[in-house]
Amino acid sequence: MKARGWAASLAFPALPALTAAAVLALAVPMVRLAASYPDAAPGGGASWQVALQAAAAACAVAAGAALAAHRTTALCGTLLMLAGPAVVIAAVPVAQARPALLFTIVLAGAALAPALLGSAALTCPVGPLRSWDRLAVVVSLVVAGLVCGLLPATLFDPQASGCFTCAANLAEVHAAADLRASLIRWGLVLTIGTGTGVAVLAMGRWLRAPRIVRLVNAPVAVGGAAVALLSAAAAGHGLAQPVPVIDAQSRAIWLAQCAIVVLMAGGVAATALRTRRLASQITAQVLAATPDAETLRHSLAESIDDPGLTLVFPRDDGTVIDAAGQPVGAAGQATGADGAGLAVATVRRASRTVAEVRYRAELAGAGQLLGIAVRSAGLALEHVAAQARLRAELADLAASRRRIIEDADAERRSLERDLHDGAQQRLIGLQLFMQLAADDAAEEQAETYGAARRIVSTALADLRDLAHGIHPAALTDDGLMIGLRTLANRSPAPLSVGGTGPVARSAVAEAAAYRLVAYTAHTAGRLAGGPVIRATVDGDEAVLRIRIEADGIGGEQAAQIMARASDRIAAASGSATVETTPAGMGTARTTITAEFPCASLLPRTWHCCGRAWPGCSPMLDSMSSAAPATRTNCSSW
Amino acid sequence: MPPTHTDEGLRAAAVIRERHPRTAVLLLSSYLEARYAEALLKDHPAGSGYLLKDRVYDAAVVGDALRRVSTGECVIDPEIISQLLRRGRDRNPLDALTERERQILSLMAQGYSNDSICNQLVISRRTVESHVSSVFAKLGIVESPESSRRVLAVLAYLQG
Repeated sequence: MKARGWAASLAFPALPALTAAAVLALAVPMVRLAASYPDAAPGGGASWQVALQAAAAACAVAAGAALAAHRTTALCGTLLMLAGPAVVIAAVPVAQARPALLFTIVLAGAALAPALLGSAALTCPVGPLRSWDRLAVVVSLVVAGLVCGLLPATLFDPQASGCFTCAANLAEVHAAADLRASLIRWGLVLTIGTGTGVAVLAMGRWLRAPRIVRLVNAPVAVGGAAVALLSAAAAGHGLAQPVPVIDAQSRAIWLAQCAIVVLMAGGVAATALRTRRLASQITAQVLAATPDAETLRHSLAESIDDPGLTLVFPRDDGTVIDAAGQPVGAAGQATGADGAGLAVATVRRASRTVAEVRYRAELAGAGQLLGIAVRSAGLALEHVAAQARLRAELADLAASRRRIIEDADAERRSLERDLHDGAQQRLIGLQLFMQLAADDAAEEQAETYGAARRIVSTALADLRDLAHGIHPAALTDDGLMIGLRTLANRSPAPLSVGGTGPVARSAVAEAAAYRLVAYTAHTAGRLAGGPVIRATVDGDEAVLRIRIEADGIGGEQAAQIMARASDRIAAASGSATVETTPAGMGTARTTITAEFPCASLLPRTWHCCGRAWPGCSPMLDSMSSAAPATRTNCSSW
Repeated sequence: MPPTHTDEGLRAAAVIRERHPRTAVLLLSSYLEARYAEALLKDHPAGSGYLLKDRVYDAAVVGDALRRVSTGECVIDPEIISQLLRRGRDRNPLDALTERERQILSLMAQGYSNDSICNQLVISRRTVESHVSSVFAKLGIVESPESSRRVLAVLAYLQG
């Protein structure tokens, strides 16, 4: 609606200023006239009565301006602000109003104030504004402004109606006293309808809202509804008389309405104080210790009374992460975990989105509380956001590193297969032909061929060892336990393999564990005195655990082993600890314990296609994106 | 063997033996893996042989292996056995064997029957039998009357 633009537009500072100026300009004649003609004044001429009405006008402008500053309450605040001058206008004794401009304005606008206040109550942000509500606002303003005010004014000729001291009616079009009188009566009837209707609708909306939203909006909603109801009562009172006059009852009703306006402003001020207190609480928390993400989330959740509030951080690439750096649903997710609608408050600094606060949509009416809370927690929010992004970056790096290692392993498997299928087969053939040639040749040549054949045989043996060292087929085909046993079969250092073996299969974890044992066995093999190695493997669905006990390997060799293995262990997201203790007789025992998580990006596909093609790896599930929810711009500081 | 070049040979051997139980099978493999040999021999040690493809150039070895499997013995490539014998062991129990006993252990592991061992080492049958008992006793392996079955026992022992 048009009014929402006020808060953001350049006109904003101008409007409250203009309204305040209008109030002042009108208040001067009002006070003068009311004091001079106490009997004719709608609110009486006694100083306390005049003061009450003036105070009501000032309060309306002040409270309205304060509310109009927030986006959610912009419309409500504007209506409240405009009610300020309307209150002053309604307080002026009409017959004595001079000059003509003032007279005309009072004629046309005397009934506006309650209608504006009721509309403000109906538009306060306790929930979505339905078409009923909009209709009621328009109807009540039309009734108050046109039917009760402007239209009768156009039909009024003061001189013809017997008011000889009245000023000229600038709005006069055609004098028709009877039409005017019936119009005024109809206006009163309609005012009863709109007054009650607005009051009922406003209270209905207010009562349906969650507790904290009710609390925040109580002054405006309840006060405005009361004013609307009283205006219906006043209209009824006026109808009961043959001609509406100002008497003690109408004066009492009007003064009561003014008192309610003052209370409304007091309530708005109290809410503002409450939010300031909330802000200072949060700031104190922030200054006392840098809150972690959960404490911060908890403070924000408490400010708006939504325990399910979540803090998420959009990244530059469009994904959204939580405080731990893990991806969550797409930006602007429309529904929360329980299907309830979510509102999203975007926290921005300069033009960058720092964070998104997601909370239950029905609490949007208390949005200003959240706004204050976020502003106070500004620095902490940035800190948590930066940490979250950092964690996400680290996770990305770890995944990338893992992929590099997996690709390297796949290459090695492929190489081993190629060696086996290609070079080895050819050498076997060559060996056979060499021998055949040796068998057929004469004495001297036979020896040469025989020597050549022996060289080929050695080459074959070397090639076989090389292929096994590059990547043992046993590890690929049958897993870690069998792979380790074949390693044991060839190991010069005694290696025994035990344990229940891994439960979950992960190529990366198994390759890393195998390499660790292989390095240890290789190091042990080079040492004199035959260190004895025991490898025990077990694990569960999530983790592969390996424990290597090497009697006879000391701290220095252990460091060498870990230096070779550490990169591969880290790339597999595993962790390892090394402990060296002296065993008897000047030897040492080293225990290496390593754990690897078992989630692998590559499935064990080499059974299905023989070689691990890059195309075998599955795509990560793409995140589902929901339609964006209603967004409210929280703040920028 | 194609298509996956993994264990088609072993599976083919199993199918052959299922359909034609009295067929002797000699598997030529590039893999110097004791467990493949064990897998081949597991259910049907008699008349099964596992030889490295490398040996194909040596007609004498291949011929000998063919003769042995066709008479119901089993054959395991000596390279596999010597690798197993060479592997490191904690407090190596093989050290308790005499030179002769190690020879006999090696031959037993390769699948030779007592008669073949006699021929190979040119000693009497009774000597062979006593050495065999001694080896089993020292290593704590349960003796099996059938020579083909004992191969499995020895292989299992050597793999640890």
